[in-house]
Amino acid sequence: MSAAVVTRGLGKRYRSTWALRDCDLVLPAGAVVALVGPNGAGKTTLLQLLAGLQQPSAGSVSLFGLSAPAGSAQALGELGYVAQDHPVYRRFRVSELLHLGRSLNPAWDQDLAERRIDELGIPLRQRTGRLSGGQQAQVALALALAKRPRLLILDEPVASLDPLARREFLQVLMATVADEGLTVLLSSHNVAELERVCDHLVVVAGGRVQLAGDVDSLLDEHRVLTGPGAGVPDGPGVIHVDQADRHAHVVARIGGAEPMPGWSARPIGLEELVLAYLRRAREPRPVTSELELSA
Amino acid sequence: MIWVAWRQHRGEFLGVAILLAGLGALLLTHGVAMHDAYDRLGIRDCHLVFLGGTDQACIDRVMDFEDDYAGLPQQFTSWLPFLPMVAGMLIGAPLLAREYEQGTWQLAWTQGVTRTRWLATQLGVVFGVVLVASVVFAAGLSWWLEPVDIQRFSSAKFNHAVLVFPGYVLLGMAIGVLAGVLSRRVLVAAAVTIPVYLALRLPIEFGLRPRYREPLTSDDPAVISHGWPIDGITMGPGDGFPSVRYQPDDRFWQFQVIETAILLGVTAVLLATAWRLVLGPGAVTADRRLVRAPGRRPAVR
Repeated sequence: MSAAVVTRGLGKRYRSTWALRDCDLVLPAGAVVALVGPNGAGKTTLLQLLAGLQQPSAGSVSLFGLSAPAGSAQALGELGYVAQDHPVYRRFRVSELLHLGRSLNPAWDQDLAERRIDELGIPLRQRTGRLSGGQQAQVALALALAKRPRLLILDEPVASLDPLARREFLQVLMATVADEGLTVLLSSHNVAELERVCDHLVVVAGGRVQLAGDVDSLLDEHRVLTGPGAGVPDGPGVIHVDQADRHAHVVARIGGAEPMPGWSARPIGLEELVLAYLRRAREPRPVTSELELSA
Repeated sequence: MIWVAWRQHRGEFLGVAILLAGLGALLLTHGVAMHDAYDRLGIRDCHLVFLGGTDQACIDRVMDFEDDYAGLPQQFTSWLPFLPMVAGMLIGAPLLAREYEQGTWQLAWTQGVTRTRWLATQLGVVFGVVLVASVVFAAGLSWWLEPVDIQRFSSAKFNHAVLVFPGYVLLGMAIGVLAGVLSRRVLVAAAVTIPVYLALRLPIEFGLRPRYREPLTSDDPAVISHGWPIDGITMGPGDGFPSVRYQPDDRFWQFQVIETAILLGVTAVLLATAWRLVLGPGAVTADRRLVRAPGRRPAVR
């Protein structure tokens, strides 16, 4: 599979603080990639670097193997971007927003845009400021899709939506992706809401990529091991240890190997996996996580 | 692209159009009547002898004329120098600050045109419309104010001539734009525009303007009446007319050009700074609220 996104040593520094550093990623074309991490982990910074909304302090970004840098007209043409809280010009009518898309994008597909808006039952004459949050998100998505991008980036697309709108938005998104073979990169601080839609995972915390890979392979390679509280194993494969009274639960990357004698292994869930990596990123500090683990 | 900029700032342009229409109405009513009276009463000839102060009938006519018509122009010209600042607050400040405040910069800059082209078009359309409007506005004002003052070189006439007035408007706009890029908040940018505008305008108008060229000196009232006495005229205890430093009327356009060049220069520096902040390699486009030191605990949502 060819790569939609390749980053090498990508980093962004604000004064003395690195919001993101040493980020090496390869995201396969056609994948739906979940970018997960707590608030302030560097997710938005990464997405903005990919879109050329920010200039990297270090490293490079390449979309679809183009030599043109992020932010160039060529790279922008490959990209649809829906920012956090799906901002649109609130004084524009929906039809005027489509006019904006038409004037600013050479590959603009007006039919597609109008059809999507029509299917959502949103009147073209409506001012976007009067739309509900869910409708605004859908309009922003239609605007991004009518550019005919190969890569669609969505920053916290459902964070501000109510559960019903959240569900509808993801349904519409996934139906489109299935139709068009788009590469989608969407971020969230809540892995549960992306669990059903993503096939690729990137975990970011503290400005660094903690884990990246195909979801199925990652779940295959990791196990939750349960064993005696004494003699807890240590090593690069051990991601996180949860020490109870008499037992220890260990999240480990063991590949296809069998657990040690006296230890039992069970498959791991996606939330559990993400949480283990986030906790590891946080150590040796007290283990708390602001990840929302409930759906 | 041009349509987008036009549509985004349609409200501001409508405000500009209303302002021009208001001025037009003022010129047609008060202005036309005043010009009629000016010609009918022969005020021009009286003005020429006014400073000599001998022809009492002439002085009376000038006084009457000023009683009837000069009040309104004087009121207007006392607050019109603030109009460029208001343009900066209402049109310049939101130009980019609103994009940052509402997050729409991320929408605008991920369309198929580069940020450079987008910014050039935004600034070009808005500054172009405002420039044309302010030239028209200044031309109207200049015609209106023609009969009002004895001196051609009065500050009222100088401030509203077709070069300097648009110059101050562009300066006010540029202050607003840069404040908007730096603060990313419309209200903050508008508020900051006020002191910055005054801090730039007052020294230019009152410090530099009288000194663009070495003033002439004369004690002949007839000569001084064709010029701008830069220190005012203070009658001494003696009989004779005091010696006065003045800038002659024929330097009016020269001074206009000099002051406009200064204003455009400052405007260019401000806009270039804003341009660099938006486009340059160190472009400050991140939402700073998202930045935390690595390892620190993120805020609980």
